[in-house]
Amino acid sequence: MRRKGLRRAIALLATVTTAASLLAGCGGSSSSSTAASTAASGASSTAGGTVNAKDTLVIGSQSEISSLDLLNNDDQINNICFKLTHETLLHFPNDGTGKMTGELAKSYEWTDDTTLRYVLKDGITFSDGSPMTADDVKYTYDCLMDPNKSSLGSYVSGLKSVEVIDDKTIDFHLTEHMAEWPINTANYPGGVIISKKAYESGEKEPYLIGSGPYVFKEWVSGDHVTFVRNDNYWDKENAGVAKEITFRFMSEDSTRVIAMENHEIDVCIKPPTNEIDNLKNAQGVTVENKVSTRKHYLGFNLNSDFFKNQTLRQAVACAINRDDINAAAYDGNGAVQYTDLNRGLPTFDESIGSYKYDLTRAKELMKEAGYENGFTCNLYVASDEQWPTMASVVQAQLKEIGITVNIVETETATHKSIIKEGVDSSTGNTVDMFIWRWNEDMKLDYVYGDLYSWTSDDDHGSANFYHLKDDKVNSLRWDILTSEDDATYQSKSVELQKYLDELQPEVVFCTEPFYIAYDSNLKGAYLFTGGNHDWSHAYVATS
Amino acid sequence: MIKYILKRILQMIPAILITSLLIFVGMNLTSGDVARTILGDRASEEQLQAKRVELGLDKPIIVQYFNYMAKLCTGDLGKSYINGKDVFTEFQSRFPNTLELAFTAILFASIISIPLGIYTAMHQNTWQDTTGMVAALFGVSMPNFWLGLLLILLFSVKLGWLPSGGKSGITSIILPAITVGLGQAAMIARTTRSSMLDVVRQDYIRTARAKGCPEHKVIYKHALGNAMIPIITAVGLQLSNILTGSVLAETVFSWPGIGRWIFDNISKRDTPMVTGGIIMCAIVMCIVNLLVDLVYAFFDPRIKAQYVKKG
Amino acid sequence: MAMVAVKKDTSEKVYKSRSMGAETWRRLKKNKGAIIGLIFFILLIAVTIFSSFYFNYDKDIIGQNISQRLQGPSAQHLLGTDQVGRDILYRILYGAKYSLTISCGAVGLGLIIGVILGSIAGFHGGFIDDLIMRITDVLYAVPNIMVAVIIVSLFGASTLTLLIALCVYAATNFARITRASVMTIRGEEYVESAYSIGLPTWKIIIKHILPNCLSPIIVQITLLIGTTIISASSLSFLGIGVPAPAPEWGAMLSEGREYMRTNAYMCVFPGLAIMFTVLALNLLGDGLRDAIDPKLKR
Repeated sequence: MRRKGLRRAIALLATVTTAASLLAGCGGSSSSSTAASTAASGASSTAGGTVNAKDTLVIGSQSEISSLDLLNNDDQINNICFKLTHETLLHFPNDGTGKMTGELAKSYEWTDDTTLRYVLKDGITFSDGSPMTADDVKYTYDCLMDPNKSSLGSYVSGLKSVEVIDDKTIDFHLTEHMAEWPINTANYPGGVIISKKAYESGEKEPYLIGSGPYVFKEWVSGDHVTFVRNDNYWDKENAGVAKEITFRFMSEDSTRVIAMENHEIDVCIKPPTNEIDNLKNAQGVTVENKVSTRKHYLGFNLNSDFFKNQTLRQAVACAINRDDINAAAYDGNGAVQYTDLNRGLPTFDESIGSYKYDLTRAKELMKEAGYENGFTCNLYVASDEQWPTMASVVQAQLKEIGITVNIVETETATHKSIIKEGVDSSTGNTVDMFIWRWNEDMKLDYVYGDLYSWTSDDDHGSANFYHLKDDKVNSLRWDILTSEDDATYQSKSVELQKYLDELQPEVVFCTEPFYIAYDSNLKGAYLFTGGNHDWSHAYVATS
Repeated sequence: MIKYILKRILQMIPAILITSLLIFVGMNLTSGDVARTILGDRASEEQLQAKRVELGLDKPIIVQYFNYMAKLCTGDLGKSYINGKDVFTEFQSRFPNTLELAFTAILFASIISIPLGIYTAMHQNTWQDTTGMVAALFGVSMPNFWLGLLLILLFSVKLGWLPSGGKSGITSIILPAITVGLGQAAMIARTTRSSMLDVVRQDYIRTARAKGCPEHKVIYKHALGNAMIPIITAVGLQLSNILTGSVLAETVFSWPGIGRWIFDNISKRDTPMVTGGIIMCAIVMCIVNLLVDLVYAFFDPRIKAQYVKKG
Repeated sequence: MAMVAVKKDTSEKVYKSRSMGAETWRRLKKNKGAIIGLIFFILLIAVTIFSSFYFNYDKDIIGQNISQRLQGPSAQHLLGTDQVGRDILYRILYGAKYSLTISCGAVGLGLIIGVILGSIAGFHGGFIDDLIMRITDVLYAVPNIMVAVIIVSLFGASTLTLLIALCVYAATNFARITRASVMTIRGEEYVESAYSIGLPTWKIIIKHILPNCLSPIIVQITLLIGTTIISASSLSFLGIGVPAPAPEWGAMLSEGREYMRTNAYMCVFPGLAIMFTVLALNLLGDGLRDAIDPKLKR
């Protein structure tokens, strides 16, 4: 009798385990498609001869992509996917010279003060085989200008209309002469050419069709996104090498670093500063370190009851010890700055900054602003990167001048939409302060225009989360955008930086140190210190 | 017997209805203006209102709830407000991962704890017993996410033997399973021991020994079978705790299961995902509880008789 | 009640009876583990009270000192410093306050709610019993972390909401125990006679029934405090418990995770604090269970 019971127990346990493993097995593609680095390698042929490369390039990314709809979002993490699948008219280099070359366009010129004429290269095809023509270019820019179709309108501000001259020639008609405007056509995402045919065919995800060297394969939510080489890529000389490129989402810093050390991944994006030594000592791993262009700052919402007061903002600026924040977030390896313009852009002025760390002055300014007794306010921060650490240091520093800060941490995409609105829809609270970042290595206007301009409720910077509506800022920005000569460009930019320094819509902490770790045999990676890397020609060489 | 099962299923329904009502109402009250979240801040008031009507948000909350439950019966849990993905599909793609983790953990726990419990019971009051029970006590007192961190520290960071996270092959389930399973193991070991001690005191065991039955036969043939019921109870109770434990283990190890998924969606304030996820969890737990009760009946004909009689 | 012989100078032996409380204490004293647990728990309460007075919260506990960040254990900072230079030992000692107040508060609240609901359910039976039991079934069906997460996301993360969220689990436990005891005793004769002489229901419950449920409830209290401490630290670890910069043990572990490879001590010491506290409570709880009803003793 007892023996039966025991046998039954074992039988049941066995059945249950088998059932579980069967269930797990047919549970989904997740187990089979998670890419550990494949040992298989093969020869890939490029025009220059065969290259021995690993089949898959696995990149450990610090966050998950949020969307592949390139007309409606521009987070960096999504942008690096677009660089694989789509292309722009011009190509912006990573060497700091700003000298652009043709990518889809074989030439461009100013035919008059406000018209830019581009000529497409021959034989360009999309991944579905259809040819790219001037119509696709016009369609792309028409969509970008249409707020119902795209949220990236600010990327094409200044564009009046696009005219198709012939199959391969397009004219961009601007409202004014804007010397920096050609850079717009090198932009990801607001400059990638989409397929008119795909969008008009009623396809569910037309943004997956691009002309680039890779094609989207799959996106397993929470795990990875994979792209396969486009073997029908039109530019045979510049085809991709790796057969597959996978971005694995590994938000846990230590997991990503350990995976790099164990060569489970080939590239480790953004290793945390305190792990750099471990990576340098790991076998077969190369670590790169540069000063980057990506700034992190404490932003004020000028709609907030407290921070509509300029003197109060200046007071807070004097209470922030940037060196401490740099030390806490980046072990001191970031580059502290005071001016609001991104480091690495032309006219960046290191000498600007009249509100440096001075607690006495901060308290005086508090008094002048009428808040001698302090107050309580909220600070919104995204729970990613080093932002929570920065928030906790800000909280401690502001306590010294009597400001009690409540930190509200939310997931990155949620955080962005909260600070965009300026109101937290789930509690109804107005955002007082927030921590955010801005990276720009191409155009001045992508800083001045996107962050600080507000000419009307329909026409304002896409990242003007401060809700700054200042006429002088708008007019200086416009002067820079439409400047006819270099001297005006320089002097107005310096003037604007000085004015912003008085206005203090934000307190910039520093730019993050640029670190990346990768397999020592990695080749073909085209890196930008701001993080907008181009992996389309990267591969890990074998033997 | 079938009648009993049906009756239990019917009893599950009010529980699930109440749970889902509470969650649905709670989440929807806090999600803010959904239409605005979807359409963005450039949308006009007409566009917003049209969206609200499209999503059924203009109706009273009870009506919305009924519509939601009606769709649930067809497997449609709605779509994410944030990226439009289908809730049920997302749940389905991750649920097997949690199941895998849960079963591996319970397997691991049972393999360690039941023999340990038997051994310590048979060697009661010796140093082996004390050591075993003290170890079990430590196991129960440790927060499992801390255990996970320590395991990563030892086996991944210092020794480099096992991966520190993600789901990538057979080695990646070991540490998460131990994290979830060790606490369970401690509980089960304690229960096994006390259950065996109970049984071993019985007269029929004394008789068997007096008759000259070898010790191992005494344990496995006579004692263990009867001791199984409380052990199964313990294992069954732990199953309900697994989901709790798995949220933490999944977070520490970046394991792509539903615990972490629900939790991530709460930080993203993705209401349909959270509502759908938790309701599915509640349904799953009720089914699990029912299965555990049926396992009792399997083992103990007396209980089976009770169930059959109850009808 | 036990009988013990007491020697008097007369030749007659007089038996002095001990109350249940004293008898339990006598048995408990014999259990070394339980005594260790009790001493540790008392020490913890002492540390909590002492820390509140001794430490300056702003300076010692949340005051940042960036130049001293990430230092390992040393003479100056016995358990090292964290990523913004705060002394870990001080934070652990002060952090005991959160674990104790939240868990004792949640269990206490759960006790009151659970006992009331359980007595009503057990005593009246029928529809009310069914309703209350369905609700507890529901709360069992959703894992208690999820329940806590929902409550916290509805009402925001603060010590108070955490307490309410955690008391749910305790309440369901107490409700079940009380109901079971009440149902067992309900049929007894002395209850019937109390009822028949017109004693109001609530008086019957309090005077006659509850004292008999006392043993399982007392044991459950100590064990639940332990479980609740772990739950509270789990929620803080996930980021929805006590908000920053409070030195709650779970939150400290969450912060330390990023520095696990270079400053492992940040992930070890707060966890040890949690483990030893819960261990002490488990030892005490086990000892109480054995002491209250020696027939159950192994």
